[in-house]
Amino acid sequence: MKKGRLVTVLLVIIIAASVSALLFYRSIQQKRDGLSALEPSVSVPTTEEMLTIDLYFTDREGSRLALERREIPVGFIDALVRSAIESLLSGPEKKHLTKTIPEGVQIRSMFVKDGTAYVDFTSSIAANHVGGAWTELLTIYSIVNTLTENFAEIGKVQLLIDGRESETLAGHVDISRPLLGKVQLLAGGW
Amino acid sequence: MVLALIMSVVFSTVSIEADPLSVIQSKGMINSPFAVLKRAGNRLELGSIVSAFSLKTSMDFLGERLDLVGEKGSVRLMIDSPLILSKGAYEVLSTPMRTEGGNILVPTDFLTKALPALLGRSAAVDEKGSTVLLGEEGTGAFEGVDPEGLVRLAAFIDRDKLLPPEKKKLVPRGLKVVVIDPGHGGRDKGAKGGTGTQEKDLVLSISQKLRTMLEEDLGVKVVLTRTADYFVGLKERTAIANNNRAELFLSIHANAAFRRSVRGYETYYLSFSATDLESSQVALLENRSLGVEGEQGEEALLEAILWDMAQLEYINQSGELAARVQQNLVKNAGGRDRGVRQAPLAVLMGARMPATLVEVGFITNPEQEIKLNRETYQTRLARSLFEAVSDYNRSLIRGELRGR
Ligand SMILES: [Zn+2]
Repeated sequence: MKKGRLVTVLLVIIIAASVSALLFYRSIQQKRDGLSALEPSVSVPTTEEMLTIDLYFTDREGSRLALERREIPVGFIDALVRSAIESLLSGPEKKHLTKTIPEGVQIRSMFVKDGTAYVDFTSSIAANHVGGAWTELLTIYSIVNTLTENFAEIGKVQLLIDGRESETLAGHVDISRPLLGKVQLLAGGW
Repeated sequence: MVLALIMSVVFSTVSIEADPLSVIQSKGMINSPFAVLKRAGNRLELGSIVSAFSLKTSMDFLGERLDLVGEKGSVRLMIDSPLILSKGAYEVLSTPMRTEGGNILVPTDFLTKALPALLGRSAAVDEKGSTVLLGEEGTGAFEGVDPEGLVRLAAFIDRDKLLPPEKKKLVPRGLKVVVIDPGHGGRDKGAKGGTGTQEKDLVLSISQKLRTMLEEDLGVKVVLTRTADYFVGLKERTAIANNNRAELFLSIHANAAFRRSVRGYETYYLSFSATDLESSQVALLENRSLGVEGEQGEEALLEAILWDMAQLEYINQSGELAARVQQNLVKNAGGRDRGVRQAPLAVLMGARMPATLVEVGFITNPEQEIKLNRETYQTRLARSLFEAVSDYNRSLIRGELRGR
């Protein structure tokens, strides 16, 4: 009995150690530069490792994408992506930035396969979108840029609406195929 | 196997054949005594080009993707594709690269489209279509020796001035058919204003006003992609323009922003990205190597790529049109200039004519919403768009608008 319990405890420790090692490995694998890369901490391993990411919202004038730096818990890629998009859904903390995704939108499902992130949103992302070609572009690339700029594993993003590929989100911008990040939107140009 | 064929083409000796294309350049000659490019029908053998310009070649193991490397850069070609990819940019050949009788054949415009990227020098084909002129940018004269050994003096290269003969013969003429596309419609309501104004209604009204002006004052035939409140798909709208052989496509929209304060005009024309393009090429290859869908599937995919690329040929004129639209709106209707922009807009893809999409104001801005609902303001907007089209038409007749 006692021996069995000891083995269990040991197993738990080993698993915990390897999980945290794995998580740490993933964190340094992150493509963020030196500033935000996590430093190996000598301190208590119980504190949750955090990862710095840049979320893409838009400026007051709706002219360009604008960054907000956030910390999200380190995890596997699917969890990181979900966490990043959920941050986009809940909106910016900075007052002068604006949320790019309509209220009430939820992630139906998402996965990363062969360098492409497939993100499936509920139909309100299209139905409740305010419209306008540029505004539509901002919504699309706030998602695409957030994923392609923060995660080395993601080169392209395929947006899905209600489980299906869609021609556009609000009637203007083509989203029928996987999209590459467009950092230029930051500068307001294309 | 194809690789082997290429190699044999590359290393075969250059010989003078009937009606060859000679190459002369500003400093000395290429490959002594004189380089000639072999013709096969109205195409050129790629092997003779590779040899004349000392290019290096490498082909992927499937024998479908060919990279050419020159002194100053490299280009990528795909069998059965009209595209040349180079350093994040691309060019479209008049016909696809093909293999025939063991040779790879390219259209003549390969020279003007690929050589600058490979050699870092401008290239042009003379008016008779018999000589390729190579040189640095600038003016001057240079000497070359033709296959008969005669010294010939040729005017220096200004790529833009040395157009192929067909283009020079083009008699400029004005617009005959214009397609106006009132955005959205039916279940697709478009943007909505604070007091309930709907984009789809507004743009239809402006479109109808513009139609009358164009028909009465410019005497052109105008086709609307929708004439009432019903749904029309985006590809369908472009197809209407193509099928009517329209020489101009103008999609009219009203804008929306996340914040009510945003106002002004925006005019768009299509943006392309070489990387998106390359991925569609890869899709074609993947599809081919899987071989599941067979020839039909492949043709459909190629068709889709060509549809996406159709607007490329008119992109300069589209930019000119967009500039005129934006300028006239700001000048005649008054308001904030948010600029001419480029974006991957679905309705502009596939348009085989100069095409632009205009956002005539923000319906989400309370002041602009009120204005946009006024009959007189709508007429002013329509008049501004009319002026833009007339202005474009004048430039067209004067021959000021050049293709890509
Ligand atoms: Zn619209």
